[in-house]
Amino acid sequence: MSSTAKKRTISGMTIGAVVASALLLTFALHRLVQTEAELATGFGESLLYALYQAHDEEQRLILKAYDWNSSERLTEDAEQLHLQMDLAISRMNVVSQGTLGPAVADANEATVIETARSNLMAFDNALQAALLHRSAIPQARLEVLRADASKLKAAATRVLIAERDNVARQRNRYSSVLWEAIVAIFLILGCGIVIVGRLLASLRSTARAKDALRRDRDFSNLLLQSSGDGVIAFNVDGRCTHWNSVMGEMFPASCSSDVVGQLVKDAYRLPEDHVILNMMCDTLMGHSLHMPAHPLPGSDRYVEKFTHPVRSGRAIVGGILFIRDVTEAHLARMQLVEHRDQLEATVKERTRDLEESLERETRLRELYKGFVSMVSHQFRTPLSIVDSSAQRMIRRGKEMSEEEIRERAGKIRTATLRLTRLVSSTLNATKLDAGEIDFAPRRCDLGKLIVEACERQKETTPNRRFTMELDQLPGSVSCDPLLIDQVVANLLSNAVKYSSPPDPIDVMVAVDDRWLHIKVSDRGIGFSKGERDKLFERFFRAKAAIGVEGTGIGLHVARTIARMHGGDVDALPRNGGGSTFVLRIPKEEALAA
Amino acid sequence: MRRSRRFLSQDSLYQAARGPAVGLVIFLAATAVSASQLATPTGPILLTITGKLDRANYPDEAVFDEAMLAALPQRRIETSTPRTDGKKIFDGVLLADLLDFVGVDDAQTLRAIALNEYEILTPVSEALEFGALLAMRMDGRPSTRRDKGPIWIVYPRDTNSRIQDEHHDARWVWQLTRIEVQ
Repeated sequence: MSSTAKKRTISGMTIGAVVASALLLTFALHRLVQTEAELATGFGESLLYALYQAHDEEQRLILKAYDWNSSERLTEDAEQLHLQMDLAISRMNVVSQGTLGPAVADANEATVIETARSNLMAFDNALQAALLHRSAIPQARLEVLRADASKLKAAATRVLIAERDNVARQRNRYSSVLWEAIVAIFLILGCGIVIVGRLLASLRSTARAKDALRRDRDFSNLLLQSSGDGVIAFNVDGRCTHWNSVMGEMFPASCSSDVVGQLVKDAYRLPEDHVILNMMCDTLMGHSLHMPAHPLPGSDRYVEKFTHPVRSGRAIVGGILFIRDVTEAHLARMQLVEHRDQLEATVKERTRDLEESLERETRLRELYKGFVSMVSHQFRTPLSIVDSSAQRMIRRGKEMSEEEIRERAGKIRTATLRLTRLVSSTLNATKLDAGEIDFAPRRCDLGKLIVEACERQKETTPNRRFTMELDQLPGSVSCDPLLIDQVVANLLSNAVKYSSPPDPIDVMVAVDDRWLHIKVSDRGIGFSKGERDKLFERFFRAKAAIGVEGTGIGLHVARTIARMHGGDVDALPRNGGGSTFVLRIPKEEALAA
Repeated sequence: MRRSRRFLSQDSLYQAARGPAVGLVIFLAATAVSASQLATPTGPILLTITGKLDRANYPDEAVFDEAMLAALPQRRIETSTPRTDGKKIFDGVLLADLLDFVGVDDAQTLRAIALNEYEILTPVSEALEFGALLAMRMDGRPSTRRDKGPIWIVYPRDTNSRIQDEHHDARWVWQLTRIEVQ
């Protein structure tokens, strides 16, 4: 039998028991009421009493009548006799008339009573006559009355016996009704026991169901409390229905009492447009939300928030909000990002280093290429002069005049000198680059140094003219005179080399608040814009300089020395053609400082 | 008791006996003139009330003849009775009016006594509450001794289910002759 069918059967039994109880109760009450009604309709006793009264008053009348006959028959006696007559008649009326009439008929005593009454009325007539005439009442009348009294007594006896029988019958009937009632009550009791049993069973099952519900709820709470995340559930009104202690630790409620049952808004005193309230609102509209890690206001913790709507069937009945502490994970991720950035920086640095190395190598190769090119041009020319002079001298032999020999030897010497100079300047540059030159600044007369350099240049190229403006020069300048002399000589030699006579070469000194500017200008071939920076690289030769003797080292050396002094050498195109090279060194004060 | 018994046995048929009775009444009235504010009965005595009375015509006794009772306010009850068939119309004096008339205070119980020495106790409160009437006429005819007269205590039985039982029916005293107020 299935449990539903069983339940239906038990319910049917219970209803049956209730109906049966009601029917039995109705039956028992009906029987008792019926019996009570029968009890109320008994006339036996009343009839017996009335008969006794009638009999008694008749006896008294008889006695009074005998007294009347035998006494003096005074007025007083007449009154008493009359009263007694009235009483006797009234008592006889009670028996024969009124409500007792039917009872008398039922007891089959109507004839006796009627006879007695008519005899009494006849006696009354005789009595009235006797009272009127103060005469004796006839004996025959009295005898009739006495006989009637006996008959009344006999009737009373019969009524008594009938009444006893009636009472006995009634008692039997009451007894059976009583037993019926008792049986009914026992049956009702049985039904009652069944109903109470059902009630108890139902109470027990209700208690069991409640118990199971409580266990479920306790377990749910346990689950909720065991969660490492803060959990708060709310219904459609925004009222908190569940809440765990982790949430309490993360977000202590503003109010001291239990959060459950309160509006979340009130419990945390959130303003209307608070992000959590907005999230709750969206959740109740059926959205699942996720707020990525963000710092918890007023603490160093990071949290993530999730919300999900809670559905019952298709309807949304509330929502649940998880708040997860993701500080560790967040910090780890941040560290990872930092490491990555560091790594990227390191890689970039290494790449830059490598690129620099590559550039250096490339430059070096260019340098060597420039060196080789310079050597091949600059060294070959004097060597070929030496070679051709030597060949000529061998070919001519003794035919050569002393003058011719001297001329040839002079050419060889000039070429050798040139080679020596080339080698020496190359070596100087190398020494300079290697830092092997000592830098020894001291006070010196820069004007004198410039004039002497010009003089030396004039000795080499006597056909060149120099103009000098040295007025602004201070009396003495702090510098390394040997090195500065080399710079000035280089600049002058350059100006001579890349311009042609009779154009003069201008040397001018300008001074500003920090610097001394020594400018050497020519009116020569100049240089192109693209070559300006390259001019100071080692072994660089400008395109226009092809065919001019030079190692491409002089300007490089000049700049290196100027920079050792904290200054520089720069190349500028000259207005009106040619170029101006400016040596810039700090004034005394600046250098001293 | 002898005296009262003698008055009570008088009947209209015996007007000749009136002389000595009237003399006796005058004698008794003279001895208790201060207590008596009640007229002296001139006809046959129908009812005697005894007990603590404010108004009486003999010491501790108020005695009424037919005329005195007829002078009191007359009331009517229509009801069926336990002793007759069908509904009857009763005329007479309310017990409450009568007790007021003789000045009964603080009475607890009435002992009603009939000519045949039937007697029964009735609480005054109940007798007044249930509207006891001292009926002297039934269906318009004066009641005689042969027909439960001359005075029958009746109640409006039909209109009050509380008095429709044998216990209350026993208070319907007929051939009433005496009320002892206790």
